[in-house]
Amino acid sequence: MLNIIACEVMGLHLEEIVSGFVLELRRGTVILCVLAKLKDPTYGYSLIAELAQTGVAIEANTLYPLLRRLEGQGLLESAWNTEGAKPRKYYATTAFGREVLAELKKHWRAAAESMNALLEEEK
Amino acid sequence: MKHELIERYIYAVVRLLPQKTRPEVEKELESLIGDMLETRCGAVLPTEKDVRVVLTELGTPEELAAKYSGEEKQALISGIYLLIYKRVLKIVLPIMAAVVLLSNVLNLVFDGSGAAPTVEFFAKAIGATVGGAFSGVLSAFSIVTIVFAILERKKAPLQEGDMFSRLPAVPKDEARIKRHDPIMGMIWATVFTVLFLVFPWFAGAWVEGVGWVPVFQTAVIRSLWLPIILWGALGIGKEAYKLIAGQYTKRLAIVTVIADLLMIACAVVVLAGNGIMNPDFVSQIGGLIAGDGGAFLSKLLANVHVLLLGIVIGGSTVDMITVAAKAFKYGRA
Repeated sequence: MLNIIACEVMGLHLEEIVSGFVLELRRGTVILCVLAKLKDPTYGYSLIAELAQTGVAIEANTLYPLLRRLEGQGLLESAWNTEGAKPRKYYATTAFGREVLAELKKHWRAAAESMNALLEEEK
Repeated sequence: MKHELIERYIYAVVRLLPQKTRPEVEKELESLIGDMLETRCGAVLPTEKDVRVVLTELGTPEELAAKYSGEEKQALISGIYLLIYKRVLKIVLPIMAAVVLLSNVLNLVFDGSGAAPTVEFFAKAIGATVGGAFSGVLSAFSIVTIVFAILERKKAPLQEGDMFSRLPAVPKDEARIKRHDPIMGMIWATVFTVLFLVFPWFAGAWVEGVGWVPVFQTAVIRSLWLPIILWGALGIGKEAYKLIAGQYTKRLAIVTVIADLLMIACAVVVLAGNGIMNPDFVSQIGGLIAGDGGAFLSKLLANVHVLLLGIVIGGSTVDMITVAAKAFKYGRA
């Protein structure tokens, strides 16, 4: 009986730790996702939906500030589109943003390869 | 479709952000919340509950503002704490400067009473006043900083209770008080009190063969320190309240009217009688010009205190009427 309780407590603890790590992993990759997805002008809310479809979950309260920050760094440019029912801000990568993306991709692939190799060894 | 709760939520976010990013973030959030509601409700009109669910999903205004400001890095004070820390400092520091300045003046009056207006006295007075205000501001700054560092270390919740009941009312543009307005008011109240109480001999004239003849009797003014200091404290308190309120409200109007009436009462106590006037001044100056002109001038100069009283009452009255009019025009209760 005590064992079961201990296991449940541990299980909860494990879940907590894992979700914390997953969050950290995701935080590092979000920028890559955003830059890759914004080759065509898209507004924030539809970008969330598009990313969700490809299995990347990001919350609006993280994405919107991030888009502004990337624009401030010159990786994205934005324009308000007022033709629809309500005004929406469309973001797209700049030439500089695409350059950064190309570099990041290289790093990502190299990192993924070495990570995979490392994790294979673990087996 | 502008929902009041949404407006208040957005205002609560942007007021923590730098002025220049506010309009853009406001528009972005309006657009985002609109999209979120549309996804949730489709063509159906969103209810109050839908709005609450969507806003809860976005997090508290402080959390969202912290994300927008990019202040998430670890530092002594960061995130939500940093945003609120800055807001508190902007209010506490000017008030502290004014209060310390005024209390230093009190000190000077008792310390240097009877002292001649020598260069050393001025140097000492200015040094003590400015230095005191500076160190006062510095210690207020340190205390606020330490308090916030501890709050953050302890992860103390800065605001308690339901997020929605805490959302501030959105002031109409005209109802907002620009920060420099009450700060100028505090400076004015402090400077006037200091000049009148510490350096009353500033007002005077040089008479050939006699020397410097002051308008007022310094000793009499000094003996009236209580109503004078009270006048200054009321002026600073009134402006400090305005600075904290940030917008014209009926409560601000009531506070202002009461403070102004008390200030007028103080001014009457000090200026109504001619006890503070230096009799030598009137006779000396009046005697300089012969004939009707001289008589008129001496009469005018003998009533400098009445003139001053008029200016103070006029200023207070204008202040009461403007604040009350703005409050009743734009303000909420």
